[in-house]
Formats: sequence, structure tokens, C-alpha cells
Amino acid sequence: MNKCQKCQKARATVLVTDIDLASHKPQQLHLCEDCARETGMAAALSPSAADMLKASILSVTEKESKARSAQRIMCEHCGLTYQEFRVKGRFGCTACYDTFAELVDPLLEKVHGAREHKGDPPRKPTHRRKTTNVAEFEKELVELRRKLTRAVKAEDYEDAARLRDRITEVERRIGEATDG
Amino acid sequence: MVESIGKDAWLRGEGQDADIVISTRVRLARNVEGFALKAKLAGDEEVALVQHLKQRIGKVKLAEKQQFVDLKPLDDVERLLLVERHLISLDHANADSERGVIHDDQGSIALMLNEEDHLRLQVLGSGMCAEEVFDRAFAIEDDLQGVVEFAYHSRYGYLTSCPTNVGTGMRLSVMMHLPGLAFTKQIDKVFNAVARMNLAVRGFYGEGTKALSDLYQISNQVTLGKTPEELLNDVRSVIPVILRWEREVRNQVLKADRVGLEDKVWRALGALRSARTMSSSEAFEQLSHVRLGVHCELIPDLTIATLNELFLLCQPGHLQTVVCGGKAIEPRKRDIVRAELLRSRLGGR
Ligand SMILES: [Zn+2]
Ligand SMILES: [Zn+2]
Repeated sequence: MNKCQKCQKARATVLVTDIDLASHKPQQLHLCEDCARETGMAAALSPSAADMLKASILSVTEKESKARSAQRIMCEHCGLTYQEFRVKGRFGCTACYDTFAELVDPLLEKVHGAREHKGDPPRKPTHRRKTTNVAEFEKELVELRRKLTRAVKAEDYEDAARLRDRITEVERRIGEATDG
Repeated sequence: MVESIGKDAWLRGEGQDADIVISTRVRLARNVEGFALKAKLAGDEEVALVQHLKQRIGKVKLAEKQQFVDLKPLDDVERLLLVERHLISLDHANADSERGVIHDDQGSIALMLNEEDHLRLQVLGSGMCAEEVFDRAFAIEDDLQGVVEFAYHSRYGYLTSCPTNVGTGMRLSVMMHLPGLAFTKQIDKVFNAVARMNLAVRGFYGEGTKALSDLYQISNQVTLGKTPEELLNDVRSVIPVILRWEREVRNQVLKADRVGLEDKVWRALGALRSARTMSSSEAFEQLSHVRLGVHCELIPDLTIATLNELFLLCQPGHLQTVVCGGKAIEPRKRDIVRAELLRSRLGGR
């Protein structure tokens, strides 16, 4: 029987994963339910996905960084660095998955026990993707709408008509970019 | 928003095994091709993203009635209310970025915009209804694919901010009320069974982390390397086992110590009907006991729907909206108001 690591009395039924702040190493505590409750480990009955990820990143990146100078990798699309990813555990853009592929594969193996997706691809094939400027168009649209509101308020109808035309045009182009 | 309080479909206490399974939820994480992921999405791009999704999803009929809620102008109580209705996550509520949610009037469908991922699609149902919520979520996702291009990688599947969600982006979770197993300290059986299946269990603690309301959430731990259907089956296969254990334990306790159990549930109802102040954690604990009493047919004249509703109304967001007209009040006053509400709903004095 596994004894609770805190009270040393009751049977440990809860596994709490945490990152030790001093050593930066993931540690696992076997606690009884009462002690888990007391330590305020809310929602930690199973190691949470976030905890598992932190632990996995640490174990994977330790090996990687010994192997070569992985620290220098940076995503050229979004500017995310290896260090940033290590701290946040979040990618900055979809290209990051390829940029950090060497790190991603062992990480996915640790977290999911798999490296590849299984399941249907999206309904529309992605290879016909037009490198979308959707984000740029949408940003312009927000700005145009803001200007339109101002123009209408100022009763500048000429400007408003011009802005409305531009909005229609941009909306059409977003439609083209995403409908294919 | 007040008119929909306590009326969400998942609260009805209907559906398969609703005596133990409170609700079933499926969540799909998706990101839009052409936008940076959350960590590198600039402020004006966030505005554009929300605009894009709102406009695009607006073309799709998700349900009879659907509405967009801009989270930015809402106050804390209003946001908390949406969290308690399970329509948005706590992180989504507490963020200060441009963000919103599109949901139906039944509280069954919620699409969070600019959460950790660009889109978090969720379908929620009462009782054990994994297949229904699964089918509904993927039907909606299929419709959305007609208007939005989701980021997809030929090897990794649907790309997400965090690698823990990549692949299917799917998390299926079943919220179970297991007072029997908790009471008899057999909950570790559940942990072991669930761990063997590569699933996760989470517990829920009340305010102050003292009381456990005997609610446990079972969900798939991994999202990659299995098809959505396989993940669905993993979760579905373990639930009947847990249900059987919980029912067996309840019967054993009834046989071995009926009076002891009666004492426990009637004392809980007594407290709820008489107390002058009641913290949310105590309320959850007592409601949990009463819920068990209703199921073991020890307490007549009370329905699960009423208890589910009270679980919800006792939470701070609902309490402050229903009783205090949306004004924030201090915790001590809240405990008094909560006790009043419970007394009046449960026929106390
Ligand atoms: Zn202990
Ligand atoms: Zn990147």
C-alpha cells in the first residue's frame, strides 16, 4: 500500500504533479484525498494536461539541449523562440510545429504516446490554400468600419459612400480567400 | 440574461443515468488559417479575428436561436454567470483581450472566440449522452468548415496553441456524482480504472478548497494518435463500470446501515432548510448528500432537476444575479443570501 507522503498515515489515492520551483524538476506527490484537499490542489486529482506538458517539455528539452544548440532555434514566421516555448508551452503560429519539429515529435510521444494524427482530414483539401491574407483584410475591415462610423456621425456622406464601397470590396476578397 | 437562469438544458437531470451522470460535454479546439496563434496574436489582430469568426459563423445556423456575446464590456458578475453556465471557461472570463462567445438559448452549444485557441466549440448535454454531443459537435464543425479554414497539418492534424490538444483537438468529459464511492473511500478504484484507459479524472472543490461535492470529471487525456471515434469509445467504455460500482456501493450502504445513511441525508436537508448562513462549499456538500438521498429514495418530493438548479444558484455569479440583481456583494452577505435562498426553495423556515 502506498502511504500518503504528507500525513504518512492514510492510503495515497491522489497523484499530484507539480514543478519544483527550486530545481525546475517535475515532482509527483502521492497524497491521500484529505491531504490533497488541504493543500488546495484543486482539480489535480489526475495530473492535469498542463502539468504533464510542463514535465514533458522539461524532460525532452533537457536531452535536446545537450545534443545540440537547440536554444538558437527561432520561428521565422512569428518570432517565437525555443526559450519562450519552454516557458509558456504555447506555440506562436502554425508554422512553429514545423520549425520546432525535432522538439515536437519527442514531446508529442511523451504527452500523447503518439506522433501522428489519426482521423479524417478537413472536408476541403488544404493544398489549394491561397496564402491567406485574411488576417490583413480583416484588420483593414475593422479600421474601415471604424472610419465609416465616424464619417456617418460627421455627416460626411461622400466619404461614407467611398468607405462602404471599400468595405464591400474587402469583404469580397476575404470571401474569395476562404471559400476557394 | 436573467430569464435564462437555471433553464439550461444540461441541468434538467434527464437523459441516461442522470442519477449519477450530471452532464456530458465535448469540446473541439480549432484555429483559423492565416492568423497567428494566441501567444503571438497582436491586439488589432485579435479584433480582426473575432470579427472574422463572428461574421463567418453568423452565416451558419447552429440552433433555433443563437447569439453573440461580446465579453469585453461585461462586468465580473455577468462573466461569472457565463462561467457557471459552462458557456465560457474561467480563463476566457478573466482574460482582457478582445473575445466573445456565440451560444444557443438552450445553453447546449457554445463557441468561444479567441480563447486559448481561436475557436473552442463545445456541446453540452444532460446525463450520459456522449454520442449525441459528439455527433452534434462534429456536425457543427463540418458546417463551420464551409465558411472558415481551420489550420490543419498533414501529420499532426488540427493545430492548437498547446501541443496537449493537437490532433483531434477533442476533449470529451463526463461529469459524475459519486457520493457512494467517495463516502466509502473507494474512489481510488475509479482512478485506477481510468488511468489504465489513458483517461483523466478531476475533482471539484468548493470555495476555500474545504468541501468536496463528490463531483468527478472523467475525460480523455490524449488527443493525438486516435480517431475521434476511438477517443469517444475509450470514454464510453469506462463509464458503465464506474456506474455499476457506484450503484453497488449505494445498495451495500443501504443494506448495511440504512439508518446511518438516512441520518446523513436528512441532517443535510435539515441544515439546508434551517441555516442562517451557508458558504458555497457547505452548500455543495449538503446538496450532494441530499442528491444521494433522493436517488436512494430516502427523500420524497424533491427532484434532481431542483437540486441541479440549486447547485448552480448557490454559485457566486448566479447568486448575485438572481438575488441581488447583478450587484456584487461581499462574501459574508452572500452566505446569508445563499442560506435564505436555500430555505425558501427547499421549504424551510
Ligand atoms: Zn495524507
Ligand atoms: Zn511560429
